[in-house]
Amino acid sequence: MPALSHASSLDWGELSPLRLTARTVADGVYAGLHPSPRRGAGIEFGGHREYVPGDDLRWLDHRTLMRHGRLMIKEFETETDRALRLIVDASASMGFRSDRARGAKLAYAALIAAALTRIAIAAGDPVALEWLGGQGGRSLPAIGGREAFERIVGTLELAEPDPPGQLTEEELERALTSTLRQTRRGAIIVLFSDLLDLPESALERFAALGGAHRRTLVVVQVLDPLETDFALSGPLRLRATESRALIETDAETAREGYLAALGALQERWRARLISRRGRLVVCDSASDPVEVVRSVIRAAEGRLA
Amino acid sequence: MSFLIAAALAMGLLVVAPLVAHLLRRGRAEEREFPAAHLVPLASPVARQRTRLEDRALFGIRASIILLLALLGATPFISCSRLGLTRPSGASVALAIVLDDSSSMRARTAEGQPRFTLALAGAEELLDSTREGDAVALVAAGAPARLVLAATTDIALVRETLSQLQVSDRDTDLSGAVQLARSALGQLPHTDKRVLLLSDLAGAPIPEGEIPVAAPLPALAEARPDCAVIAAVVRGANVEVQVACADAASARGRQLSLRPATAALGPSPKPRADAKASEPVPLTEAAGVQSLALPTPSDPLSWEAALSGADSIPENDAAPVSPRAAATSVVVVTDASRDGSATGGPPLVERALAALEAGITVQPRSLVPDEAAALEGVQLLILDDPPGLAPEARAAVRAWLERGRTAVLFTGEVAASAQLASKLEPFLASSRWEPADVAGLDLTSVTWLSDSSGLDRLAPVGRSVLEGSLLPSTQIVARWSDGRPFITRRDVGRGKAYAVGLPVSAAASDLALCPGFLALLQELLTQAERGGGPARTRAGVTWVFSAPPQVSGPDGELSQDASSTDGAARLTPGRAGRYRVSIDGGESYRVVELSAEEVLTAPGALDQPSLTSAEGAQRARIDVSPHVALVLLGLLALELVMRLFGRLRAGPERRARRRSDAAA
Repeated sequence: MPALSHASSLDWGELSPLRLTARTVADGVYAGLHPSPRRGAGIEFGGHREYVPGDDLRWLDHRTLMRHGRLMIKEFETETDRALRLIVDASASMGFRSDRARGAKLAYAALIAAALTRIAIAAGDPVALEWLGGQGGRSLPAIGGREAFERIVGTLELAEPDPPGQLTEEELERALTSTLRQTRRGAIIVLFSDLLDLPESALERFAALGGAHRRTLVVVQVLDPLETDFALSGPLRLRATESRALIETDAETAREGYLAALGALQERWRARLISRRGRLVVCDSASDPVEVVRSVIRAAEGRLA
Repeated sequence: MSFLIAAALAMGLLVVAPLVAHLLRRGRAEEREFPAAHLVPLASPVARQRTRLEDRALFGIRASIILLLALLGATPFISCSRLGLTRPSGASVALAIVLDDSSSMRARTAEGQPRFTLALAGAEELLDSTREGDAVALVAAGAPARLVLAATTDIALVRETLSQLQVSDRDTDLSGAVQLARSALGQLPHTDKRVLLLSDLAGAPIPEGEIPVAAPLPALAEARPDCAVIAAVVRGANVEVQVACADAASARGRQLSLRPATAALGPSPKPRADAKASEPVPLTEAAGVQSLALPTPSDPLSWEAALSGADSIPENDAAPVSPRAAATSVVVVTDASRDGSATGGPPLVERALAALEAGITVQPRSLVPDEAAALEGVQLLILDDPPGLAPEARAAVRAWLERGRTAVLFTGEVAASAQLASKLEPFLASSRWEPADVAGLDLTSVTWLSDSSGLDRLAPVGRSVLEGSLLPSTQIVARWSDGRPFITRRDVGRGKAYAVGLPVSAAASDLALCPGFLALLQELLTQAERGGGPARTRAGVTWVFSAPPQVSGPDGELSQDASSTDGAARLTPGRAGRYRVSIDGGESYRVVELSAEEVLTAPGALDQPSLTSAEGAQRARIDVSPHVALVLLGLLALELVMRLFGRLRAGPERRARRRSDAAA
């Protein structure tokens, strides 16, 4: 049986202690990125104006000067909010862990979230935390500074998945409304979820966070390795974590259909997010967290397909 | 059954244990948590089927293991019953198995198996109980009784021979078979000799003898209902059908009719297109043979008489229609005035033929027919000292002979004085009569006769000199004591032309008064019947042909008997039905019939004084422990293999799940 015990703490597996592991991951991300992913982030091109004496010559548009013989200065808009907003799904299914995973899906999501927090805070950007379901986790407003990392990691460590049951529309709406109210133009919103037990409206509601307000949406789908490849065999009786429905099937027969259904789900999210300047990052809890963090950063920069 | 047996067998109740384990395993092990279960397509029938099949195989094996363990615990007290040889003295046994392959052995027992099949199985069981040094002979009891295999210690050969035996439509010759079996064992050095009868005992009583006879299969002697069509013969406007019924109940409600011939009874001419089955005639509800008449169809050879309903032998419920059998016809050409008989009456040749009681038809003639058509239907032509043969007569006789017929020419003074235009062909070129100064024949030259007594004392007044007048293809088959030819035989086509150096006339010699003369006529008749042959015979009667024929019957092509040594072709049909005989371009049909005795004779009683059961064979109690243990070992190995296979197939996933369970 997977370690989905609702009476016990979250199965952190090899991912604990979260604080040290997250620092290690963040350091690995720094070592692998040149230049820093934060450099120039949040600066948007705003147009041209005539050069006036005293302007910084670094912003002189050399191409316009060569083509038209006019001195034009490039203007940039500075974002009003550079905050990183993390939304972590702590529904019942996120407590699942198979034997090949390094920890429960929720623990893995917390690790990635903590690593991103450390990177953002190091760049001087504030970080906020919101929960979808779950027990024991507190929502945190956007905070920065040296204490912010400790507070967010402390909150992540207290997370417990929901008991079996479907995440309700009300819980979803409460979390997203809170995020929408506190998030200003230019913020980066990262959702950590397995996308398996969210309400039907979750995709549209989450996509609505992006779009016109130049917010960047990144969805990190955290799956268990067993959910990724369905490496089961023989006759099976599968109990759904949230709905408690019992599915009787044959592994070899069902594998192809399952993988197709999972692919269709991911494709639906990916297509909808792209239309909202968002990206979908798929990972499983056996993946190298450093690579996952890099993928999230690339997605936030719009460099991930 | 003792308490120990009951206790051991009660262990078999534990067979429910694997069933319980199976149900527990199936219910607990397969369910597992999986968050993305709603994305998994349903395939419940396949899943259930696989679970069921896999587990049922294991369940079956485990249940069998428990049952066999219980049986093994009880095997010191339980034994299987099968036919086996008893060995009161412990010595090797000389055994003759008499296997009845007669028509009555086709009867199905109450269990639906033919008696012959049971008998074969019994013989196999007997062979299983033989040991090294035992000698076994095989005798078939279908008439005529035959020694199928002389006594041998090669049991494998006996098995092979046994497997080739088939039931036939022959009569039963139990008496002859037992005598054959006793003689087959007579010269063997074994002290323990016995004859085992695997028969329904429907036949003559078993003769008394020194070697005991036992009938170890009493199930074969149970009476079974049967009606059979014995013969269907055309007699003018009607087909006379003989039906034999074992009892009145067998005939109840059954009807007889003619129907177009079927292939099951052998080849037959194609019936006319407008052929219709005749109106059925009900059987009289009585045991015995009853004769019924049905209207003769226009092409009777294409029909068969068949009974409605069913009984224990469906094979004999139909028989082909055959033409009325004609007796062997003999033409005798003689001059009664020169016969030399002082008592009057028919000529000596005719009286000798009558003395043979062969049921032949004799046609006395004074002249040799000069047209071949006049000899149509004649099997034997006897010419007693004719005054030569006219050219037309010679041509007619030659043409007739070439079709496989037989003729004999007795030569005397008259034949020697044949006119210029009259010759003795195709027998001899000519003959010359001279006074005889020799006494009798060389008996070593007439061993082919069944009785040559008197021939060595012949004292003729004269004799024909045959040498010098022999035609090509002539053999000398009997000689005078001085070495001169007495009887010659010449092949004319497929026919035989004999020439004898004396006339039949008693005035010329005492030849006609010798027993050897009758043996000569008998041999000539036998030879003649080979050329024509009877149209109806019983199953098991050997057909003899002068040349190899092609014979096809109900079982396909009929092969020649291996015992043909004199150049003649011998075939023995064992199956009743119609046979097509093709020889030298000609084609004819023969019908092999059943014997009514086979139906009417009730299975014999087992309490005949000549039958002993204690010294023969009996249902032996054989310890089956080794066999049970062997099967048990095999099942255990199979169970291990299946478990290993199942574990390999489950792969690391199942092992990890178990570890996870243990950790939880």
